Amino acid sequence: MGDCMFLEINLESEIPIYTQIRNGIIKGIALGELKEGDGLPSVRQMAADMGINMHTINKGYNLLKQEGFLSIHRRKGVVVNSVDKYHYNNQYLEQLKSELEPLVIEAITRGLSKNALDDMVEDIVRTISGGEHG
Amino acid sequence: MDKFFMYYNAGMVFLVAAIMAFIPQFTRKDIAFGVSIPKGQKKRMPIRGWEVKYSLFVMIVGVILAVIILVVGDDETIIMWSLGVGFIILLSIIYGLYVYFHKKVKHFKRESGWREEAPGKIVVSLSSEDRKVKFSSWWYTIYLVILAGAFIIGYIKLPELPDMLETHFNAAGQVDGWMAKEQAVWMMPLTALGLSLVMFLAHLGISRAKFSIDPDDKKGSSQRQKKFRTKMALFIYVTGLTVLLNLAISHMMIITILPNDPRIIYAMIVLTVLVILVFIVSVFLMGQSGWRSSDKARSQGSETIIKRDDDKYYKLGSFYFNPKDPSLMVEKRFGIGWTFNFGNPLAWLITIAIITIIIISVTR
Repeated sequence: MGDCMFLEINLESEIPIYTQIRNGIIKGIALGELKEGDGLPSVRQMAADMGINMHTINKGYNLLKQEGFLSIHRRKGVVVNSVDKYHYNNQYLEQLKSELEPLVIEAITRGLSKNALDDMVEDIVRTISGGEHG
Repeated sequence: MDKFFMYYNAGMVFLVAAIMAFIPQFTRKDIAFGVSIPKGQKKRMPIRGWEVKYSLFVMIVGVILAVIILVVGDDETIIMWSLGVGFIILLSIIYGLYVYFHKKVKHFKRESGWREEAPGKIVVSLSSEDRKVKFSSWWYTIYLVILAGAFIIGYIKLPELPDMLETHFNAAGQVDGWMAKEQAVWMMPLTALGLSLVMFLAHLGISRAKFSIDPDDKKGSSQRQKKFRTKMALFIYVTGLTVLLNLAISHMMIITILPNDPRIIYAMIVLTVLVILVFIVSVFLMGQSGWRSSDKARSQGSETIIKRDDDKYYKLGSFYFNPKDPSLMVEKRFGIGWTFNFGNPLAWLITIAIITIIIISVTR
């Protein structure tokens, strides 16, 4: 079990809350703070603790469920899946490429070198390595 | 022996007054008389002065009432009423004082123009372990064992008993109440059942209450809150168990398994009060949500900015009403512990059920 795994939501950000929830949980899995089999708080509990509408939490959880990161059981509640449930497949690779394409193209257009781009990716990977999913 | 209850009543009234007198010292730093204020304002005048005045006044009232009870004497009828009347007077005065100072703080807040810091960040714990109260609900099976035992023993003994049982004795140790055995044998077990339900519900309420984390002290605030809740859960359990044992012993006396010795009852009362006192002191030392147990939590706060102002949901500073909040229980503002979210219909259901049970058992 992780050492006090916290999720931070920035209410003033342009990123919708359910997306922040999704990203935060994935990061937790990446850092190894959320392991296979770990239970997450119920939708109700999260909504009450955060003071946020249950629908928003539900949206985030459902997204993660569709993407294979979480399972929602009737009795056990919300549980983190094993890595084979969300391992990348061709469909994900295509989606990733289409999302990266505009970002990379814009960076190069703005004069960023490929090396600088590589360094940036490396930095990001470094923040989550050290966990089991390094 | 008959003077016991006179001293007991006076002592109880004084004790309750003493506890209520120091509530402002133990509530959170960002709340005064049910109004949310900037943390740094508690130590400054006029708020500090008001809290001191409140404490002094309540202590004085407590002493006066206790003295009156002692002076008024040890006549049986008086002893019977003095506790109830004493409490009613004490609590009415306390509530009146609270509302008075509540309004003063509210007015001062408006005049001072403190602003609420926009809640930019919210932090929540993803680990369900972190917020779980370290006191298992399974302990309550012991309650069930005692209850079952009381019911079963009563049922078995029923045929051997005389038709009328002695069910009440006065302060002088003389029996002054009888009841038909069919009713008397269930009196204590039913009360005990009601009590057990209330305690268990309180335990559940505490386990599921809203868990708020301070973004500026994530680890510390969540650890303190967990410790505080665990302690409160333990408190509720031990108090319930002690009272349950009291009822079990009274039950045994009614069905004549134990002798009608008043000294046993006195011993149980003293034990119960001691247990409750020990817990109240230790919980008060922790402060609401455990804020007193860390230096960081105690350190100076802003004098003009309020962290999270949900004044509008706390009517008169005490009754929390927020239909949008899915929580059933939230932290109390004036006092230590939790209160219902009256915007949640379940809160009304439970409150009405409890009041009904109390009315039924008192009028029987």
